[in-house]
Amino acid sequence: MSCSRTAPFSLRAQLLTFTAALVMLSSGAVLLLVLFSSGSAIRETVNQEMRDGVENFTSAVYARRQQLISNASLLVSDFGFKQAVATHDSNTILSMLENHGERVNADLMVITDLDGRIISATEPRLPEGRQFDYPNAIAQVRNGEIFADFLIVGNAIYHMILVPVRTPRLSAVAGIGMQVDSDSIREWLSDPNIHITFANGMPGESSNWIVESSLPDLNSVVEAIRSPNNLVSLIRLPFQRSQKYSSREVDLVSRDNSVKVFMSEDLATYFESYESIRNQILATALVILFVAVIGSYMISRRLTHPLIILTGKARDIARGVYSDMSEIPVTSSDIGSLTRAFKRMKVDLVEREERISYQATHDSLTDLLNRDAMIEAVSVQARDDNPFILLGLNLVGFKTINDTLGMEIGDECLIAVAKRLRKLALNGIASRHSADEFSLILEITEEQSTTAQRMLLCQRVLNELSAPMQLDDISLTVEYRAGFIVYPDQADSPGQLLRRGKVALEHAITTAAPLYYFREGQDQVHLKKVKILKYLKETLQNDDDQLQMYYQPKYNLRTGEIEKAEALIRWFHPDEGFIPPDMFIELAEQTGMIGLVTSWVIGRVLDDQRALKDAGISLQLSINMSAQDLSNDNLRVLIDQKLIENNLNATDICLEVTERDMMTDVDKSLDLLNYYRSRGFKLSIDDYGVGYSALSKLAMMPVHELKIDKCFILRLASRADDQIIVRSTISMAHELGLSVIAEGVEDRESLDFLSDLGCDYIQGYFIAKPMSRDALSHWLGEFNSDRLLG
Amino acid sequence: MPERQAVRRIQSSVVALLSLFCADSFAESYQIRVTDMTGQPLPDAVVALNTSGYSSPAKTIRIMDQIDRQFSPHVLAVNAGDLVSFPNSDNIRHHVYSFSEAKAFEIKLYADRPESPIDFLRPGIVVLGCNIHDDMVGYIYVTPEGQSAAVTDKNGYASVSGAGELKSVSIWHERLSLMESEQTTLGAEALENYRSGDYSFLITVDPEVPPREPAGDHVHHGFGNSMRR
Repeated sequence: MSCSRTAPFSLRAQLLTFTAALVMLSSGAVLLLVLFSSGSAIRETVNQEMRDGVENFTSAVYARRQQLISNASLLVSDFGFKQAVATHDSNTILSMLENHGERVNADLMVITDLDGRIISATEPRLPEGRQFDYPNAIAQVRNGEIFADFLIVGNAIYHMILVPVRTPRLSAVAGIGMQVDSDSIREWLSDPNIHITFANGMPGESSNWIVESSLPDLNSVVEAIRSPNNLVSLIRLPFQRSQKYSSREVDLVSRDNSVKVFMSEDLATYFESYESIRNQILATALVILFVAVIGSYMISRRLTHPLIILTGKARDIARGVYSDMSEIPVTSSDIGSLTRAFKRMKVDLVEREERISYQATHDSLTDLLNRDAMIEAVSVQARDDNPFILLGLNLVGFKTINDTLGMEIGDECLIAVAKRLRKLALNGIASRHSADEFSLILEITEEQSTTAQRMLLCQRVLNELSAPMQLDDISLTVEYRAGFIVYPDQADSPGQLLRRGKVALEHAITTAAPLYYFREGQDQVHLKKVKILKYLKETLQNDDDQLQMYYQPKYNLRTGEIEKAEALIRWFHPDEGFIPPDMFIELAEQTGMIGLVTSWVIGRVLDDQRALKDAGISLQLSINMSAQDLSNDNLRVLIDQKLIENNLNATDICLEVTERDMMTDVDKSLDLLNYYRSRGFKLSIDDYGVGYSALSKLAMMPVHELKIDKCFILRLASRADDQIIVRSTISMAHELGLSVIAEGVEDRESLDFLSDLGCDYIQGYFIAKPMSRDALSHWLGEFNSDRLLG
Repeated sequence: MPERQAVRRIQSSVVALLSLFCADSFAESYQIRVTDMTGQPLPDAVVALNTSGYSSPAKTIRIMDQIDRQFSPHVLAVNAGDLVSFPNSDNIRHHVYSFSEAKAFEIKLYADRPESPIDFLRPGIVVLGCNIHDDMVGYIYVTPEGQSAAVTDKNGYASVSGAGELKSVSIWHERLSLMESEQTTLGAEALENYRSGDYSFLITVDPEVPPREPAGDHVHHGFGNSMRR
């Protein structure tokens, strides 16, 4: 479907326009046809009528002429007349002319000699002796012929007959004339639309225009004889006069005659009949137009009315409202199929929407609910006010199943588990949250009111779930970690229920417990950890002085000098206050953020080392590194960068790695420590004594120093066990060539004891608390070893 | 009608013979032929000879008959004082008249009822008409004293006798002029131009009036060709 730039007109408008245009076009065509055919028919009729008119007129004139000739012949054959002429008896001649003229109603009687000199005439303007000045006519008579034609005599037009007078020889010319006037012309005409005009030329051609016509007035005469010889056109512009006459000259007089005869036809009746037909056509066209417009309006309404309803239905469907479509009127088969298509579309849409919403709420593999749908389902269930258990499950070793038996078996395993879950779950409400994590709810009966009974219920469920399952030809037994929580006893809302259920499950996973029952407050710790992680991420990104480096001096028991200090991170949060490093460092290690923390620490410590050196203070600063940090290539690069940047040596820095971290993967630790040692860094085993590490392994580590954990030092003065351990540790370390440092020295007794045992360095509140760099500078300036010795 | 023409010719011959008898025995016979300018013979032309040796002829009765609504002969030359009888050979009435100065008269003729002859004393041309039949025109040439006259036949020949010296020849023909009495007179000298023999002349004249068409009157209408279907 093409899409035009401007919206097309509505179907109704198009249909109306088309119909109106069609009617107007056809009416116009009919009009044109009528116009042309009428025009040519009229022209033909006019031609025919003019021909007939000429014929009739000439016949009438001829008949009249014959009569005149008879009259004239009668006169000239009168013996008395002949005698009078022969004897030149003028008086007698005149009296005879008058007498004869009256008898035949002639208007003019004349007699001339053979040269045309008037002998006698009834017209006073033709006196005796005057030339009757029509030489051709006279000559014709002298040839013995009768002259008959229209002549202008005086100011009048006469139908003139000249005959020879024989006495018996040709001796004179006798003339008899009938004046031509409008009445006489009309007598000759039979058709009232045909008019004849006699004139001595066109108007304006001569100064003395003599005209006689059957037309009513002179204006009509002028208009008529100037008209073209046939109809020119039936069309006339508004305010334009239609052609009134057609006119042509009639070949009725001799060629040299000054009289011209025009025949004119009044065209008014043609125009009237044409215009009447035209008006009828126009009126009919108007009626047809009206009917067509009404008809097309109704048809288009029948067509568009269902379309408009369908448009509304489509909008409803777009809004997700699937309203009834039965009321759509089917006005045509096209609309019917469109409506059916619409209904079909609606059905399909509903189906697809259901499918999509199912997919949106269900796990595609197992058909279990997803997390959001689970919350929804639990919410619905919670409305019953009956307590129920939410049991979270984790498949132990699912990854191994996938790896060893293949993904397909893994999937089948999950499907089988899901099947069991659905069967056991209350109302089938069970969900899958991640690859190997599930949850379901369990009904609690009133008898199962104690925790022990509920644990028993969960255990029975677990037992059923753990039953061996047959997948193809493999018999598989899966083990679960499970945490459960009771609604509404332990959660106010379904959201909280799921969250706490997750906490319980995680606890079960971390503690490797098969079934763990959620305890109050457990989730608060969890929430706080999440919060702290969030804050830590923020402050590391912002570098907003919430994190600070503190330094705890290390005291050399042999020299009485402060030679080293341990860099300790401190976090002062504006809302939470002081956040202990144990908490957030552990979290950072668990979440993989420790690298970020350590790189911040490295940057700050090395800057501070530079500042201390600049202030003339020489201290070896130690940085705590986790196992992750050691193997972090970025940190290795960073340290090198910072050393160069601050113009420091590797020996200025000591890296402290806990015994536990070092011993987790001995081979890897060995490589990394060897690397750092080769680079020149000092290395120290931190928290020694709590890692239960094998001495043989410890002996391999390329470290310079061993730090005895403070748990052996804090109560060293009072506890004999600790004294033995510390003594043997110092002795052993010295045997291995390591220097020994004790941390957590808080009293003089401990100091003295350690000094006696030959410990190399001590660190603790008895020397100094950890402090900021500036405070350290100040403290060093005031430090006096005498206090310790004293 | 050839029979009637034959009769008429016989009568004419009789008249000519009579006149020969009455004429001077010394008289010469002149043969004169009259033609028009194109050489066509002019019948019914009157040839009148004026000779010195004239002797007055005896008075005779001449005949001007009406045959087939025509005067017969068409032209009759008589001597002054001759009588002319007007019989009517047609079985219809005729009303013969003349308004000519030489002799004006009218005579109503009925078939088989002859009137008394009319005498023609004055020389000149008498035009004869019939008041009933306008087409009937005839002429009587009244020859003056001292002249002898004859009418040309259909070949234009006229034989006229004359005695003595030939002084002049007068030729009259109805078509010679619109004026009916006009005639051409040739003197002795002029005649020499027309001489064709000792006593014969071939005289050409120029008729003013064209020959009449035998169809009678016809109307010339002013109508154009459209009328002449």
